[in-house]
Amino acid sequence: MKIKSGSGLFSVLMVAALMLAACSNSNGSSSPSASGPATSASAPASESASPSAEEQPKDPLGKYPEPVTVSMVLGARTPESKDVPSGLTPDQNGYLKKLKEMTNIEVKYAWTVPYEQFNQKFKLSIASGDLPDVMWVDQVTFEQFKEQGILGDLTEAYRDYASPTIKKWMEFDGGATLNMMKSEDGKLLGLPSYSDANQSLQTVWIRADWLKNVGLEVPQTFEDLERVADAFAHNDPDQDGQQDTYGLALMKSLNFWGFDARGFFNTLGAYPYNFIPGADGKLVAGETLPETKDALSKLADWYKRGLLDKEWAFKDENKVVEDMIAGKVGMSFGEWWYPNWPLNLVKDNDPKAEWINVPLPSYNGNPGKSLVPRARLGKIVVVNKNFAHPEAAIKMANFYPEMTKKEYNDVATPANGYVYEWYEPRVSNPTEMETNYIQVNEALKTNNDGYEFENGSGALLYETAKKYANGDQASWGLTFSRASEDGGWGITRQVRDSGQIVRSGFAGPPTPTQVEKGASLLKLTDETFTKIIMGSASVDEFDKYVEDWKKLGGNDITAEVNDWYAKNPMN
Amino acid sequence: MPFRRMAFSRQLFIVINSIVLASLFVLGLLPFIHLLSVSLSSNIAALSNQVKLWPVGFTFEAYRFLGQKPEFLDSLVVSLQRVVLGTAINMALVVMAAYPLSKEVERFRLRTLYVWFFAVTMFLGGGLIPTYIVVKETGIMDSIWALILPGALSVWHMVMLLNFFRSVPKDLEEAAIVDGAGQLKILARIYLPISLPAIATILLFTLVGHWNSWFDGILYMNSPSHYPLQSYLYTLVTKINIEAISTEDLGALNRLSEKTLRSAQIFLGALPIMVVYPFLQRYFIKGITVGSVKE
Repeated sequence: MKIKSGSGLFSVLMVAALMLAACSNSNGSSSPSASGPATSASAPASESASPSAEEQPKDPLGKYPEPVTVSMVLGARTPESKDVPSGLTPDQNGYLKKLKEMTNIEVKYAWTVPYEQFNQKFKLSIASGDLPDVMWVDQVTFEQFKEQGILGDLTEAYRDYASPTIKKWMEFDGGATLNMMKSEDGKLLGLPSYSDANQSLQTVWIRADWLKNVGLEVPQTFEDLERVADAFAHNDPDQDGQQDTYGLALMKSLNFWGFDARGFFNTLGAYPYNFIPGADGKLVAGETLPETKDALSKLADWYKRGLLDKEWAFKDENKVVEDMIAGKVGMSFGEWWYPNWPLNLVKDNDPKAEWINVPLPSYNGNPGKSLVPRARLGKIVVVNKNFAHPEAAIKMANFYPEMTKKEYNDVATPANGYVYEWYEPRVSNPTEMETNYIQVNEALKTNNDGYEFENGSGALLYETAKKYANGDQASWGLTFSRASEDGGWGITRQVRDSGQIVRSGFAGPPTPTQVEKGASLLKLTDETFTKIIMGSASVDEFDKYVEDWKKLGGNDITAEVNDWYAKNPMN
Repeated sequence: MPFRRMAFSRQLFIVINSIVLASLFVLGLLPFIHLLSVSLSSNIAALSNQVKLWPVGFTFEAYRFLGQKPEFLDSLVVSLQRVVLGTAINMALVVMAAYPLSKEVERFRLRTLYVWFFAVTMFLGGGLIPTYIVVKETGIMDSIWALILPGALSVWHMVMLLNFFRSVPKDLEEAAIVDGAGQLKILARIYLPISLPAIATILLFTLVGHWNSWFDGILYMNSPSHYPLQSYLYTLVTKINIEAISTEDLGALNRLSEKTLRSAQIFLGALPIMVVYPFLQRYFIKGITVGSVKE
């Protein structure tokens, strides 16, 4: 009865696929009744209204003459704001009321679950034949739906109804991500939400107060970095007279979203877990390259010398964060957001803690080049092909950016019951980070309180940064991650502009062999790498691993990935 | 027998046995003490892993905040409803199914057929999706019945009780028949009192089962406000699945750092069932059939 994610979910998916195929007929007949009488009532009305609609330009937020009911399902995050009225449920969300008022679109949630449970419940309910009108799905689900032919065509809806804002966001990467949403015959099947890929760029976070205590400079080269790690582990950087610290934070997964080894590998020119363009222009798996072997031998050396935690292979992100907060470790590779969490907690626990952000150090005279993924795709708006109003999905996507405009700032507040975490589809703004950074810094330099910020979040950041400048320590996390020139995004964009990055080449859905063998190959990789670092296998084990990896499906995956790459070359 | 007059081997056994049991007890108790200490500590102390078995920076903040959190109290009410209603239904069905099936084939002709009818479900389940569809199509989705009816009869418990009933001496039933009692009366006045240890065991299993199950709540409830307590707690402790961190994930991560609050809720969630245990305990010890009939 009880399934435990992983393999269980996979079998659910398999059955889901079968069920969907079997149910496709009944879907057709059941859908109109599912979307309610309001829709069918409005169908003739919109037909008669269409001639007049053609005369005037199509309004991205135009109001339907009759209510249009849109069935959806929701994975609700817990609202971050503490001002949300207690007991408010997602179907009472202020944004939905406003949406109805503005466009006459009425959202009905068939169900809502906490965000973490969404995938499970979604797959089950799809398998039992309930397909909502508008959905907000991940890339894997998108590809499955595309295969099964249950997605509605958004080409015209996007062309005619997408607001200038949404169109601008889709053009941010030259339309590359939007193009990934097209079917073989060029139909647009989804509206993607993606963010600036540079947000994945790796940097080093170091405790400056510890550097001072051990008398070292900010590391410029890998050798410098090694000296810092050594001093942090052995020279009592926290000056409490005890040997209770180690050099570099590392969690058990070498390729994760934080506190992992990506930055270390990248510094040494290694890009495991990614496909990067090789010398012959074809993509090659970073796991198999000699740079990775070199990096592993360095990590093994660090482990032997006590620069890594003895128990790193057993620590998840929470345990590593515990160590950081407790002041056991003062250096970690990572992305721009660390001050927002967990470095803010480190400062809460120890006000003396001072963090600096630096680019990856150089190695053998070559600057450390961080990996930047080709795409940073979030979720995708799709519609059921039986849904009569695909443009309603586009209007709903237009609606959220509209609500972040200044005139709604006082209305759309958590205290008024506007919970943005519950509003879907919410296409994210890929330019937000950069625009806010530039505008906030401009406003700060001229001390211009009347600055016209493009995004509501920009105005908020400006206020936070001013509070921090006036000594409010609680504002440090947001300010130092997003606004400070020497902080998270400040350093990230500096590296981006210097061009010291490597782009990964593959951004497609998992290939057939990846689906079949990817998990076991990943396990082989993780186990081998961990053993090498812990010293229970010699570094030369790597050569055998590469052979095995290639034989056990790696070669097939590489070929498939290159097929995709040939069809989708990087510009 | 007083300890001193026992044989040495017996004394040794008692000492070692006590030590082993006591350490098991401590092992079981420590996590709860730790949980309680964390829930009573300041959040930053809990986050930096300073709290072991005694609160650091003592505060009731987590419990105070919890009192204002409707989700926790709502789900507690759902859980209590489920436990009371569900256990009552489960027990009634188990007893009523086990009793006739405990009779011999001569007295109940189709007994074997019925036993197989039940037993087959122990080996073959409908599977997740068909069960989900059944719940959906019967229209009990999103109601408390979706948590109770699909598992209303535990065949495993029924077989346990059935075997217990069969071990009851037949002479007792025959004597009752001679005295003019009907089957219902025999069940209520003879079998049930004699079977108290078995009933108590099954009652406890059912109770704990209902209290602890979380998966069906997540499956069948269409809104988190209908979740039983354990489903709600589960959503607190699951890790967020992140591939590339977004600004929203950052908010979620910051909330994950509310460690004291989480501990307080888990502690309160485990408390009621811990309180029930000692009260049912005494029924386990008594084997009642001993001495009821002279052979």
